[in-house]
Amino acid sequence: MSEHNENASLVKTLRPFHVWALGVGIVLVGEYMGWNFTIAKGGVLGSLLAMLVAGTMYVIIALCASELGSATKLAGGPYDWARLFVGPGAAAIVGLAVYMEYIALEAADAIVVASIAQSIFPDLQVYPVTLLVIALLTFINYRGVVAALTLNFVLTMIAFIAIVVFFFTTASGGVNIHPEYLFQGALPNGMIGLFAALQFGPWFYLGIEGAAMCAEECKHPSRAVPLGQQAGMITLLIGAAMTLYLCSVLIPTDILGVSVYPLFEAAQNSGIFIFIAALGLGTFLTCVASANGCVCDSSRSWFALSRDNYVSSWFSAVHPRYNTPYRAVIFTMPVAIGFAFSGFLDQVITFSIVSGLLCYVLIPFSLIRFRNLFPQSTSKVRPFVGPLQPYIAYFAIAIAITILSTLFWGYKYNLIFAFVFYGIAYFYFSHRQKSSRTENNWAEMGWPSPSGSENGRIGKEAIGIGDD
Amino acid sequence: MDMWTIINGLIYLMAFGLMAWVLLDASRVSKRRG
Repeated sequence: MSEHNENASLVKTLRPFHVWALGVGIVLVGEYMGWNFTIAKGGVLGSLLAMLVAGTMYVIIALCASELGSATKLAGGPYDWARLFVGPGAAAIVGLAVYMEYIALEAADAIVVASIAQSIFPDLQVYPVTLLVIALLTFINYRGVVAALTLNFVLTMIAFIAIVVFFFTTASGGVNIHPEYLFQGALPNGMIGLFAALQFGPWFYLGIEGAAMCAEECKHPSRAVPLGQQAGMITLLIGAAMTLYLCSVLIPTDILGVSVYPLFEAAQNSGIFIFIAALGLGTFLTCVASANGCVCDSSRSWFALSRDNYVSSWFSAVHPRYNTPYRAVIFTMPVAIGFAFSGFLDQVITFSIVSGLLCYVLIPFSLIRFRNLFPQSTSKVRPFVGPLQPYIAYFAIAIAITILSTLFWGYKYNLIFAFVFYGIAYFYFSHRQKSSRTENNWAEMGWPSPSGSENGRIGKEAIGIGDD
Repeated sequence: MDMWTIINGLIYLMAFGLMAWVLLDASRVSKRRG
């Protein structure tokens, strides 16, 4: 290990509500915008199916994450699980995919914040505001994770409460709704539309797995991560159902399918000023909260890759005063600016979705490998045992692959580019890690030796356990 | 020069100011660590 690694330790200050804020803060923007492209493809029924299918996949992934997280008690979330139970190549892919997913999302959020500001003040330019948002969030994350995630908690709560109040006012008859919109645009493109709509289903929940990325900075990671993540998933399921109902009964489907800010537009159609202001503010705040969470997650992912020598260990230094991975945080800035100024917002977002879906294949796969390596169900290896595992993990992989395949409609070149990119990364990192001599540290975790000769090999590849 | 040109310029200035602060602090910390 390098000299940088020896000094690397992050301060443990975060609580479950910070984990919730990090996860929901990143994702809630997807309920304010983006999800409505499901309507354009598959109508209201297609959107409902996409919401349920993607929701099922994310619930299973959250269960896998809870079991893996409470068992390993290690920081790094999906990256660490892949490193321990699959191998170095898969770990590097997950780390890189998480990094790319969040950095692309941060760039997209910053552009949207600037576009909203420009729609309010037409003479304001998009580029300086985008640059200011990225610089400001880098500055906040550089100074400390608690301040950054407390800010996220406040922004996310305001945005979520705005949806809840709007929903209950509408459901109780306070807003004039149009139930006929539900039938007029129920299934505009037939059965194929239902299938095509799946590709936008992850918008409702994309990025919730990032809640686990701050595990190393939690006071009690084995409790805080599963609790924060499950609470976040429940919040998002409720928010998704409310959002779909509100927009479907307030906006005609042909307009809803192409809307940029559907919840804001639904509030405008209600004609009530307080909701127009609240949902407009909510749209803005969710973008800021999402970008903020993305800086936090992408920097932690790069930090983890650096600490394990997948990328230069120079990035794994921790700030002596703020206890943040300051070089990894700074490194998010030029990459995000590059994405933001590339001018291809939809391509950037699609790359983020493909990266996310790749993680959703590898997280359940890590759980399957974990159960094969450590079949004991009552030992201290596994304090939380998820229901119906590992069968539902196979089901989650099938759903993730199905959604990935639907991206072929409209984004086939992005899909091919992403596969080539991650394929090259896999072979590069596997080759790089072969030169590292590592030892099996299962015993240091208080675990028995993994079963099977092949598993022993994986145990030796699982580097760095207990190094910290 | 109109007001919005000045405002856009000020936003650029703030963004570059924040970047400069972060980079200067990082280089100072790195030097101290040797």
